[in-house]
Amino acid sequence: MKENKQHTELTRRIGVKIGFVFLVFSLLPLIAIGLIGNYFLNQTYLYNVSSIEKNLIDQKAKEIELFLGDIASSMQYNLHGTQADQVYSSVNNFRISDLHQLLDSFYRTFQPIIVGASISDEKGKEILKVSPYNYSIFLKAINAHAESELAMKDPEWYPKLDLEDVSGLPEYAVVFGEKNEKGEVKTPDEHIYFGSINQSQKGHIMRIAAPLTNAEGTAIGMVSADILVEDIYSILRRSLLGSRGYVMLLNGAGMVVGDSLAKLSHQYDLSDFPIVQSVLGGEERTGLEKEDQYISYFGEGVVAAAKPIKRANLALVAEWPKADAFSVLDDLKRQFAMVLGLAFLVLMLMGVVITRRLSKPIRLLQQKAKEIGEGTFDQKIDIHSHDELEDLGKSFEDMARGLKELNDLKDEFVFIATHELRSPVTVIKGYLSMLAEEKEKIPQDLFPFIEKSTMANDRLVQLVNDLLEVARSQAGKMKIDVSATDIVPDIEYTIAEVKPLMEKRNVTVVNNLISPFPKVMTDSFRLKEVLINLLSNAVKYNKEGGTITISYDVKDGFLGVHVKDSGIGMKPEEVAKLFQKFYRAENKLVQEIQGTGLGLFIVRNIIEKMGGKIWAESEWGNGTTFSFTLKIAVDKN
Amino acid sequence: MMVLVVALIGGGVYWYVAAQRGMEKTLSEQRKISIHHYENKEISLANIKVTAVYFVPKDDYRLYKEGQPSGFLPDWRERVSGQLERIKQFHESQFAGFSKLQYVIQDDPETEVIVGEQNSIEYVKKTDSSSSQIKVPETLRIVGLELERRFPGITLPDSEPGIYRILVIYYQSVGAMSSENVVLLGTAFIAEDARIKGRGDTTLYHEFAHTLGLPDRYTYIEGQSYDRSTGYDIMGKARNGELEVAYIDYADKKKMGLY
Repeated sequence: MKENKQHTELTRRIGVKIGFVFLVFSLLPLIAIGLIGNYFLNQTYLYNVSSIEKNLIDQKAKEIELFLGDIASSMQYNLHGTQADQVYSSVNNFRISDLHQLLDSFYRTFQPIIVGASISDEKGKEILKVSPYNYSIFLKAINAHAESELAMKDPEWYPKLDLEDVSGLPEYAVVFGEKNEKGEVKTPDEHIYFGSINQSQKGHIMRIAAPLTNAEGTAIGMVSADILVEDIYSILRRSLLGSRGYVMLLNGAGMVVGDSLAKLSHQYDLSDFPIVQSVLGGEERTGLEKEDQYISYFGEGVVAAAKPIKRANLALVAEWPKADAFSVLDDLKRQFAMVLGLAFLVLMLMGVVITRRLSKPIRLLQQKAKEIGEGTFDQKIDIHSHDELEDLGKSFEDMARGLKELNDLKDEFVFIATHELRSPVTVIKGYLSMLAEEKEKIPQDLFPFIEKSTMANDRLVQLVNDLLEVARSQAGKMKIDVSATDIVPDIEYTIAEVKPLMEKRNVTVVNNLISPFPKVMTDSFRLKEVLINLLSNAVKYNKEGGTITISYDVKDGFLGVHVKDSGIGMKPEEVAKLFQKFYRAENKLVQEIQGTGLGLFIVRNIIEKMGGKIWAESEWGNGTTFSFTLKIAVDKN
Repeated sequence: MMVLVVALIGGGVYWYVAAQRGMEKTLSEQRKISIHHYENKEISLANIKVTAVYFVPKDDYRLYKEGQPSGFLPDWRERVSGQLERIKQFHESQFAGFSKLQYVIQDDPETEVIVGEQNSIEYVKKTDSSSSQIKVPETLRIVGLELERRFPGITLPDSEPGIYRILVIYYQSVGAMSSENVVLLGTAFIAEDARIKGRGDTTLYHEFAHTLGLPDRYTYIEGQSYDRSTGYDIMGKARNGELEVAYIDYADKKKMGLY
């Protein structure tokens, strides 16, 4: 049993090793492919997403700059006097009717989108103002044909222009300031002011202001205009970024003043988003950096790109929800994962199959080696792996064949030897019997030698008989005639046979016969041989004054016969070897008892040849029970 | 071996589930918008109720009844409700609906207007200037006291729970003024007065906005107006303009909790 367990454990370990090697060499590359593939897929797709975003906001920024640039350039007037080289220091040096005409011309050019416009002097005092709501007043305010400059300002209408002082406003500082925030002299573009976008009921309004310059390019006045910038929103709305991506327009304070999908009806503050702080600081964001992926104001994971529109103090931020941007990638990854998963399962399955296939010949060799070890030499080892294992199987077969030949030779030798021994020992036995009968003719002091010789010869006769029995059995020459038999008389006969021995050791026998007692298929002669063997063992290995109990049971068509003694018992490892040839327990008590070690081997052969089974159960110090079964005869009546 | 396989499968499943779930916030977890008074965050402007009264001094009403010339506008109710409706639209659009405005017109059921207990001269008697700009504050005080006596609670901002109340008094003059939560607006701002034509709505909202705490974005010094706001801010240049192009500066709305 233990040996069998060791073999199974060995096979399992070999299987695990083979499986492990297989999985390592097949799964590791698979996992590596999966991870590398996933990484490159992510990077490639992220690059594509960011390129799309970047191209889109580049294009939108360009369109917005173009729109605002067109308006701003229309506001930049260079004022000359009547003489080309005349340089004026103030817009007030020009006729107000000329300025009136200039403002009217500008106003009418941009009339559909203009909310109001004014001209201020270099001190920030408004000189003229026009809007759709005071246009009639504006027209009446100036009498272009009056002779003096003062008379041109109509006293009834000019005050109704509500002219204000704008010198405190940021546009004044931008238009007239000479240096920029860095302390450098401003470029012409830096003198143009773009204000914040505010939302009115009519639309989004932005204030734009530009200088009126003299012949030397110095600002001597300012044109301011409040412009409806709905075109910017049209530009935004024409943005397409997947199905859910959007582009936001931010003012200089980080407020969203509009977005392509009109996500919210009001402006909202994104100034605390790192990407917004970055873009308002003048940086462009590509969407490739880790910081460009974040949770948006709307609570969704997005990939974002951003671009400042520095000239107008605006910025564009494109946000593309990952769920939308990566939806195709997610599908791809899902398919990729499914393929990998399938490959994983197939490899696992293959691993199991290959492991079993590789370990199967080993298991077979192990099984066959065990059987050879048990004496079954006639083995056919079916291994067709076309490799070393198949060769090994063939070598095993050759080895078994050789062992069989040796075993046959040995059996033949034993058979012949015992057969040849039988005649002389029988003769010796005869003469010893004769000597025993002629005691009075022999000197008395020779009696002990004759007795010892008789006992030794009896053991020799027993050994020769047992060996012959074994040899016959293994040569298939053991003759057993099975027939339906009532074995009760055989049992009683056997008990009577062993009785002298029992009396000698003061052992009693209890025979618990059952009723009705079935007939069984057996060879009466051989059965007696079995019973004598078991009963004489029960006497020999019993304690002085012990008991032998014979009991019976019927189960599954078999009669069970159990011979229980009250002897010394056996250890489990001894029980396992009881029915092997020449086995004798190694303890001192057993060694002192005479025996060949062949009796139980022969008994097992007889019982098995009669179609039954035999086994023993024992516990050290608590006696032993030998049991065997015999097939119950079918009553034909 | 089994541990390795289980770890691999477990890791894969965890990675997939984690990737699917994400760690996303919902919009409700974002900033909660709650509009409040410009100076006092404790005063919620989520719901504003404007009570408008058309107040006519006793002598003027008598002249009107006798068919003699007076400043009384017989169709004042249509003009007032039209103007208040435009104000409501502007306000709610500027605050993206996060501040609701409702209005009611309060009158005396007997006269269908509110007739003052005194003659017109009594409402300006404590001033000696002919400038309407100077008369207005005293008028506001006298009329306000009379209205509070006759309609208890009408001038109080918190007389209804959860609602910020504002009283708008239309009084026959050309001036406009506000004090805490009371606005006095001359009837000229709803009449066909050429001097202030088109400015009625912006003037009313400008004064109304003061009751919400918004400060002026202009300065008036010695007859010269100094603009302190860029563009058509209702608290600056737009007070004299058209409501449709006016707006409240985004910085002011931010301070009031819109963003």
